[in-house]
Amino acid sequence: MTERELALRRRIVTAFAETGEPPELPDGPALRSLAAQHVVVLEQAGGAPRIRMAHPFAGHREGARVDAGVRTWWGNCAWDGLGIVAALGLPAATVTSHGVTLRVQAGAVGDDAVFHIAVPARHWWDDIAFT
Amino acid sequence: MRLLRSGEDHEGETVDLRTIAALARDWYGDRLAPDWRPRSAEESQRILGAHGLTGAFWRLG
Repeated sequence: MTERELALRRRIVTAFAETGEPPELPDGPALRSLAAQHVVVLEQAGGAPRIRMAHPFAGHREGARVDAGVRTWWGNCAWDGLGIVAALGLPAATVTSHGVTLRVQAGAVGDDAVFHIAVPARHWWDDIAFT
Repeated sequence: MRLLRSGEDHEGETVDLRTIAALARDWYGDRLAPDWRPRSAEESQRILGAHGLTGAFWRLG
């Protein structure tokens, strides 16, 4: 990964962390390279690429919602939601996914739900939206 | 990947939340670090293994 790509990726995850939303970026080789390396997942939005995923963050609303105080972020699944809590160093948060809300306190989760993975690891990126 | 209540029918693997929370810390905890660099597949595989996620289902490549 080039320094330019690393800087672009840093800009993307910082925007997600600060706003909960993906940044609007012009299309270009660095962005396309990040997508090819599975650092981001792009979707087309009105002719321009939009960042759908920059793990653990999500630009969509189909995965996991993370709430802490008045702030909200979105992850692609509960694993990612817990990853957002870890990456941001949140002392307390809730992670809600598929109708289940987990309370996270100091990194610990108090709930008897389980996390289900249907797709074997080697196929996760075959269809990452489904995974 | 999704949350299930214990006892729901499913295909594939299930992991308890204590494990997923610990895995999430190791997998994603550095994503905002200024010196972040992409991991190799071998490093990712080691992280999965460190949390007991081993065997064919968890093989990344």
